[in-house]
Amino acid sequence: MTRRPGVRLRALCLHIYSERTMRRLIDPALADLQAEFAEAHWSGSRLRQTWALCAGYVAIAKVLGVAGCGELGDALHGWESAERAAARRGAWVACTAFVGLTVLLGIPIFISLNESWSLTPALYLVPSALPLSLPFGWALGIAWAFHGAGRTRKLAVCALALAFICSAGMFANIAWLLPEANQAFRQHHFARAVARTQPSSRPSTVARGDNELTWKASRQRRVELAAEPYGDYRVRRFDAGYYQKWGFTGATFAIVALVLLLGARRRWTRPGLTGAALCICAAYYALLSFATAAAIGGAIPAHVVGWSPGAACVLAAILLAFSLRPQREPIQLLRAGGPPEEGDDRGSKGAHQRG
Amino acid sequence: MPKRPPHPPRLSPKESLVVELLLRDAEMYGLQLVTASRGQLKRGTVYVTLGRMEDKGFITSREEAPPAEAGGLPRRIYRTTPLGRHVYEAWNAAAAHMALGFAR
Repeated sequence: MTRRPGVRLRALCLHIYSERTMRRLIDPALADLQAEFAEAHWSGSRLRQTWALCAGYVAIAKVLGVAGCGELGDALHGWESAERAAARRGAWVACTAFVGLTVLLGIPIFISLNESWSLTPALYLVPSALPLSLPFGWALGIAWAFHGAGRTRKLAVCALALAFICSAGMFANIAWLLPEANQAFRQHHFARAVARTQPSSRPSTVARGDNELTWKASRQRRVELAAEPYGDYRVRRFDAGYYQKWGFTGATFAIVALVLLLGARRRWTRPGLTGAALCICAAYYALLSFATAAAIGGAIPAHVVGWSPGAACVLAAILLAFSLRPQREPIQLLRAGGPPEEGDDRGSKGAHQRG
Repeated sequence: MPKRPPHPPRLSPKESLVVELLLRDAEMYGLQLVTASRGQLKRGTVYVTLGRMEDKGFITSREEAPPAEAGGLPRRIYRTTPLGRHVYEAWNAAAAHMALGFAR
């Protein structure tokens, strides 16, 4: 007989979901898939096998979604003091790194433009620093918190959920906030320059550049570029920049997920995991920059820029999940501690057998 | 002030259907329940309903080893508890009583 379906998926789920969720929701759904596939296999019908796989995996996808929501709900309650302390530590490090990097990214712009050191132009620059500073800050915070007694499933689930919310927020930032803030900064700087050189004249409105366009304006701009002479190169450049924004959008979630998986697979020292998190961030942005340059040069389609770093993270996560040897000591990810839940049959061979 | 009595057990339409099907056939798998419900129970959510009912004590489950030649994960098989049966009967009796009251 061919390999049973769902075995690897179950192995992956064991790292993500609690034993109770596995036993009550995911294992029965996987058992149904395997039983149905086995029946289809014995019948000899390829069509039936394919149908059993499709229907089974669609059902399991729904189960995983529902189970994920349940896990998140469970993760929000009953935090132990060690987990709370680790979360506070991580949040503190994340905020410090985030603010520090945002300031560091803004200072060179102020210096190069000879801008006055006031709050308003500084605030205009914050949205453009977020695509870099937020994922870096998050990754460092996770690396700092996900250690020792803080290396628990609850913390991992909450961190992942927050990273997802941050990615959604980043989409809103890149789509609407960043273009407006950039344009406001340009206008502010232009007005100051005009006031310095020609105090009597009124500054006119500065035309928006490619980075100051909202999603809707970007689509319109692309049509205009395509109609211009030598439009190919400019369209490629514009497209690469457009899809690069999508890459920035998914960065927080992809990086945090990979750092968490790395931290869950083995015990790291704090500097070790921090270093690994920094390497992941650097690799993500290096790949994004490389893909953007390749798309501008015409070597790859522009849309690849948006998803290639995220796809690399997913690939790395899958390789990590399946290739690395699990640690020998009992992993705290299964439960932070305390008594087992009612009806939590940890010793059940059938329920918890490895896929 | 007198203490309020505890809420009576509640049975949603889906849960009622599950108990009804399980009373018809003593024990069933989740997928069998989906098939027997003729589309009223969905494959992706049936185990959530079954898990919730197990928490309430309306049903109980056990694992059944798959056939030796098939292998794979053990399947979970469900049956009603006496509480589930009583709640189902009480719920139906109440519904019938109310329907009669409204019909007058």
